Amino acid sequence: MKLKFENISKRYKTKKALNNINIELEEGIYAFLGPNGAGKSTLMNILAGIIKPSTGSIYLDGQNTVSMDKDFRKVLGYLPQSPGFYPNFTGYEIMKYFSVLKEADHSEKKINEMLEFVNLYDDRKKKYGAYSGGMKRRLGIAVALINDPQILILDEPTAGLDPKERIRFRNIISRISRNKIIIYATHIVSDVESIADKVILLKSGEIIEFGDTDKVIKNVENKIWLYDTDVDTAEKYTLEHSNAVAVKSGDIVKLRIVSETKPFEGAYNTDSTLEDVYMYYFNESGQEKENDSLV
Amino acid sequence: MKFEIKKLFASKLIIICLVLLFGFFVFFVVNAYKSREEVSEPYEKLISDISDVSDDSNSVLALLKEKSEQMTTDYYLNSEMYHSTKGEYGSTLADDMFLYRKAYNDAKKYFKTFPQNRIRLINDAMLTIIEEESKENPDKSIIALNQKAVDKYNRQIKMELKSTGDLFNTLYFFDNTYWDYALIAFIIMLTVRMFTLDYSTGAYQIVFSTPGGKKKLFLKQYFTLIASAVTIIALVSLCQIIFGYLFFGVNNLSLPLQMVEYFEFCPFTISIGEYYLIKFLCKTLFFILVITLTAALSIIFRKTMGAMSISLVVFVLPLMIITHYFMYTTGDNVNTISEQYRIYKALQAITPQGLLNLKTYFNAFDYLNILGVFIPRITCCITITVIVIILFFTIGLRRFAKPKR
Ligand SMILES: Nc1ncnc2c1ncn2[C@@H]1O[C@H](COP(=O)(O)OP(=O)(O)O)[C@@H](O)[C@H]1O
Ligand SMILES: [Mg+2]
Repeated sequence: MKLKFENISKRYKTKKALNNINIELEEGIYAFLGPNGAGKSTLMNILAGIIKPSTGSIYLDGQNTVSMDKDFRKVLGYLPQSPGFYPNFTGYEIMKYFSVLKEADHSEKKINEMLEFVNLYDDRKKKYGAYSGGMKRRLGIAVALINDPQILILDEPTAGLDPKERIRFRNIISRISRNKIIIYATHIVSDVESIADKVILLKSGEIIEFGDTDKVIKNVENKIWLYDTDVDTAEKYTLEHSNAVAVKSGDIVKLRIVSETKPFEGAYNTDSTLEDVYMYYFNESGQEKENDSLV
Repeated sequence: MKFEIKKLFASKLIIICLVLLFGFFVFFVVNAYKSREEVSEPYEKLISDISDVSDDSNSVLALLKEKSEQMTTDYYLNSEMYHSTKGEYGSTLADDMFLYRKAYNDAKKYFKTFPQNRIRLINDAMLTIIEEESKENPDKSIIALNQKAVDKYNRQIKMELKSTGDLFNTLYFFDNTYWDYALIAFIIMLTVRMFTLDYSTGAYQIVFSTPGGKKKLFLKQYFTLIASAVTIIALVSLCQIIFGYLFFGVNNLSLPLQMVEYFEFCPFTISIGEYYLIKFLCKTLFFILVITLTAALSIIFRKTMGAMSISLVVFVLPLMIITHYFMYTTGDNVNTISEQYRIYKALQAITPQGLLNLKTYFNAFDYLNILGVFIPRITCCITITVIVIILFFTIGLRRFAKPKR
């Protein structure tokens, strides 16, 4: 299975949300990382056929997804960024309605199984309007998964989940990921760090990095520095430099700095993580490649 | 369709509105009840006995004439006895006399006055034709129109000596504009809800990315709405028939519509029951238009308030205007050549709201000359309504769940 984005651009009235996206995906979990406003949701909506790109097309195994129409939507599971359902339907009824719409197995057994899967079985007769944020989210996940989709789009799926639920959700995703293309858009690195096969970094509507997770992490290997200091210095430095975070370990504080070159004497290289990758590329102040010195 | 019905009605607001609508309807029923006229059973028995004696209208007339004249004379001679003797139908002979006189008057109306009035219409039309033909440049369309009138009225309407009940009041109490306003508002609310619920709840991205088929979903939602509207209209129509029977004695639905005085000059050969049916169908058609246009607006705007307000204006405003001009067509000083009357008739031909007040299409010879073809005004209105329905149905269907540009 090959999903190919070709020259996808999207322009809202004055704003260019996506600029010439070209990328090819195969089975695996893809982390679409980017800050708010990078264009992730726009791209997800284009893939799901909810909005039309200004230019470009998407192909599944060489076939245009727009002309595939129903056949494409059949293999699709979509959890949008802010999904909602009908407040007066029960969880069970929502599952039933959407499995009918998705032309999936809508037997009671299957639906209960799915509800069990997302831990909503006991609340299946409660009205959706009475669900908590986390329950709503989990129902959205169950709806997205009910047709056992080949292509699964998850747009910030963990928003509103508590840490335990996040872990649970991560496990669900890695459990079902075999032979699927899973597109996981998020700005929360820890959600995808351990499960993403590949990482795509999206910035201002453009792909700035794409590759295997470990390779992408390796790319910034020599740019991550640690510096042991005290609380006050660390605080001052992080306030003034957005390319640094302070990590407390016992009495000392370790400053973790992203920098092309050694930021100052006494700093030493350390292993990079996906978090560092994110810091490296999306340092909000835009001074990511500057060489700062400790004042 | 089960889920679509639930989508539509699982809302406190909708249920409250439904209850309000029902309360409104009960109000009309109570009003009708207050003005009810009891069916006179003795009279019914009398005319049914008379009809058993003879089928022939002339002999019925002669019989009733003789009987009522004789009783009237007797009464003046012997009124004491008339008030004290038990009658055959009423409680006294005097009652019987009044019943016979009423029967005679009714028989005269059905067997003499109405047919004569129609003959007068035919004669007038033929005179107009002759007059026009004698002119130097005869107006062909006037000749043709009058010829059409002659054809339409030169038919035997099978009148019977039976009571029609008070159809006019039945229509008056159950087909009033206030009820129409309420129903329009309610149906618009339902439609907007059905077609914007996915947007307002945030479900649309999921719904529209399912393979279920957008056409299928549109049609399901559309026909759920139509089924709901038809159910309401059918129930109300059924109540009208039942209460017309109970309160106003409209119990012979197979009688020709022309036996009702208001419809004396109806050019179509239809029965009272058929009139009820046509009325139901026209109402339904109008509300299908309401649903179709509101659905298209909701699909285009994707916003509840926008679609709702435009739709309300589109349907309520013309109804207010047409009702305003309708006032000039009722009452004692109807002037058929007045400007207002002409405006009313013009509106009736082109605005679907005309279908809500059906009776004025049926009480006179009302044909339009469209490029030499004469078609009833109501046909013109129905045609326009159907065209608009098809137009907006197509727009709605094509725009439904279309990817946003
Ligand atoms: N309907 C819209 N009209 C105008 N601008 C929009 C619209 N939707 C999104 N945008 C803009 O497009 C950019 C990308 O948005 P989005 O795809 O939601 O980003 P992300 O999901 O990565 O946070 C943002 O700058 C946003 O303001
Ligand atoms: Mg987003």
